[in-house]
Amino acid sequence: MTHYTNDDYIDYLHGELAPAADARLHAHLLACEPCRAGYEAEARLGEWVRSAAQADERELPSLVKARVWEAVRNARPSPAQRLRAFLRPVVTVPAGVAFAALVFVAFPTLHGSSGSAPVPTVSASYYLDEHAAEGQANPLADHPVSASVVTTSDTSSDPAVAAAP
Amino acid sequence: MPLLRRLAAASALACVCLGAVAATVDGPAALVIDAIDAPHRVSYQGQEQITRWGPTAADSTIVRVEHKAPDLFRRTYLAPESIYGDYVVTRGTLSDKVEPRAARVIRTANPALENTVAAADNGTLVQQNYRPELEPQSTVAGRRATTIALVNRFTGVRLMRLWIDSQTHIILAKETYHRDGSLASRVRFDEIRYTNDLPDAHFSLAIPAGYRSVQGRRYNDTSGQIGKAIAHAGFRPIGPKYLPDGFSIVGADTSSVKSIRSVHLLYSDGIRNLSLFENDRAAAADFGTLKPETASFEGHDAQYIKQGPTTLLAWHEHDLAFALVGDLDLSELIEIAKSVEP
Repeated sequence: MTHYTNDDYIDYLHGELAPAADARLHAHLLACEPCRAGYEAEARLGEWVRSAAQADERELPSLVKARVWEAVRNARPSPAQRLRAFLRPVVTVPAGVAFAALVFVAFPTLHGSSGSAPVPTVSASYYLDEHAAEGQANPLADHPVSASVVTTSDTSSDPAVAAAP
Repeated sequence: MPLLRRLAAASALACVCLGAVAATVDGPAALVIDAIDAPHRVSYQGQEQITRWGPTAADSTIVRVEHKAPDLFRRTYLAPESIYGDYVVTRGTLSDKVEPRAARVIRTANPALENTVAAADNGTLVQQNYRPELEPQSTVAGRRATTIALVNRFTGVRLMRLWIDSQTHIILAKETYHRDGSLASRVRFDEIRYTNDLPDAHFSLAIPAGYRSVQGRRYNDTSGQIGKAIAHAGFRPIGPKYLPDGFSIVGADTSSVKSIRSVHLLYSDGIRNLSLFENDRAAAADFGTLKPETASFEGHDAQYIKQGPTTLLAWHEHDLAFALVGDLDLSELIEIAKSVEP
């Protein structure tokens, strides 16, 4: 049996393996005790490094923070900056109101006045599969066991089926 | 009484009832009851053909079945071509569908597979609602078989015929019929061999090397308390005032699909199941690529589809959306739907 290396575990942990390689390593870990131990050690190490990094985050010293704020407060705006600051509400508020009014009139569906908001649905196959599943335990029920499993071969569009993490 | 203790008590009671049914009946009725339980104690391998007839067409599947009592199954599909080589391993409530061509495994969980209460109920309901009639013996898959027709006690219609292995009591073939007597489905062994030599490893749920694991559906668990399921619905579910003779409620569950809370009420007469799904979000049934037909009753515009002998009828009233699924004729489903009055 071929074993994997620490580099492989790191790629696996970071989701950087190609799907086929990812699946192979996943299956291998289920069957190989030494590799599983190596993988878990690598996972623990990564967790420890992350925890340590978070613990090492430090706040700026209060003196530095005070100086930064002082510099911000003392910064004097130029005449052009003052003019822009004055004009901003004068121009932007009416423009925003006009734009909102245009949207309201032109696109009534956005505010629901036409009643055409998206209607929730439940897949008919969900109902059929749930019903068929109930019959699987009964030898007299008409549903051949696993029929519902067989008919859901394309699960990509089935909301009830999601890729395992 | 705590739920677990209540369920345990119900299971024990159900076992006693099942035993009582088997003990107090004889002849063909006892044989049918025993046939329901036979797979729990008899192991076998064989090849089975399953055909289901719809209104205008039929679908058929050929499957290699290996079964180790009480609850291990491996079904390998031989036809049709689209699923050739796919196989499903079932251990208890878990099933892995293995698709070699897609290199993936889809795992589903179906709590109904270990529902001993439902199994006992089935035996009791069959006994109550169907009269077993002995027919001439025949041979199926090279085995001597006792043929029994199950005739509905209320309508007098033969709805099922069973060919039961005279020695092991495994059901070798089964046919179901519509009310007019036409064939609805047939399950039949082409060959069967009884063996206790099937290795456990053959029924392993380990993911084969190189395969992708996909989490499939976890089906509703309708074995819990019906009142509890209804109480958790978040709205007041409506049941039908009319059911065909012999049907009674046997389970219920509440589940969420795309954040839509839905109640599943399950009814049975021992052979036929009937499911009523409802939600209070007016979430209609999405038929996707299926082509539903329309039906009208009492001012409702309903849609329905038929898949083999199974019909799904969907409609809504006020803010409630309903879906009724069962192996009943459309006219019967509509009668039931009419009686669902919010």
